Amino acid sequence: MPTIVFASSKGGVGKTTSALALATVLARAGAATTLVDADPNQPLTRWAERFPDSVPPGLSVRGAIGNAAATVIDEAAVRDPFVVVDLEGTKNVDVSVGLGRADLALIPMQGSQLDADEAANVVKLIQVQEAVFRRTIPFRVFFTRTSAAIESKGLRGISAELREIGIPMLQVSLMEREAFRLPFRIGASLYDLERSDVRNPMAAIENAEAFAMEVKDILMPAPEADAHGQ
Amino acid sequence: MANERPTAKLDLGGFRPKPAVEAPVDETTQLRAIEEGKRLGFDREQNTGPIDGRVLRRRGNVQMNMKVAPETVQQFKQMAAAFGDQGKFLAELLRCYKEHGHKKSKDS
Repeated sequence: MPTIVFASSKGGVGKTTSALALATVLARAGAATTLVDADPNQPLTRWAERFPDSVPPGLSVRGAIGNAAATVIDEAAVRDPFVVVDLEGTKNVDVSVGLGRADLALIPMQGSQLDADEAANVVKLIQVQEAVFRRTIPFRVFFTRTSAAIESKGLRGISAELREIGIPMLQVSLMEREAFRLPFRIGASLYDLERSDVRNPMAAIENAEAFAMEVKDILMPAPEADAHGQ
Repeated sequence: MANERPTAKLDLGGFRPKPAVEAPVDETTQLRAIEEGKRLGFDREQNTGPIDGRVLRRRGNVQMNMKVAPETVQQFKQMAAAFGDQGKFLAELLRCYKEHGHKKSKDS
């Protein structure tokens, strides 16, 4: 049922990589999922075309640019339990349209002040669109490309700052791992990577699954679970 | 090796597709959403301005000429520009047609 929209007002923050990782885990867990590639560069559509055998069973990748995106999202939402949307990473009018479809908006950022400012722009847009669509649009900001070894002082500071102003954040960040990028280069889904391809595929899988678990808990909290992030 | 790992214990059984009767966003609301977004700087439009087809051409492909309406040419060029590559865009259109067949659009 949920439409999960990855939105960012700038590129290069790991939006597409995160969308693919989440969609892969959902499909792998048995939930039919449509991954809507609304980025004009069509990185996900190209990935699926170049490596059709890498698309996990249960995952459909659909390219949809501009006005077509809303229609494709609407069609997918009545067909599959999960729709994951990768919007263009710019201040595009389509971000507004995409957010209108979101049951959960996920805003990726890296640990820089510039990214924090850009994330804040998307949060403001969500708040405006809540009034337009007359409903709450749940959202979370999350960090990408974080170090598995150590949390930098800068990252901690920005994280604290965002929480202080009431921006809800995911507890799980997607770490800097070659395994998240490799599917775009050599094909294969996250689950198909071998130790010969990347040093520790299991760590990336566990990270992606923890990410998906937190997303799932936001969409459908377990009765005994505490509310995350808010 | 990664394939040997058991699937994540994600219980997604409670999630279902949205009911088909649920109305999609009406056009007025969508236009208002776009206008409100523009006020916050989310104003970049897709496919603006005339596209020079030469920038989209690639070497190694063969030429295909056909007579079509000027507005079709313009629409194709704009969409192909957004897609990034004319040839691949046409291939994508063919793939979609092959996958979905001919469906009458709502407008027709």
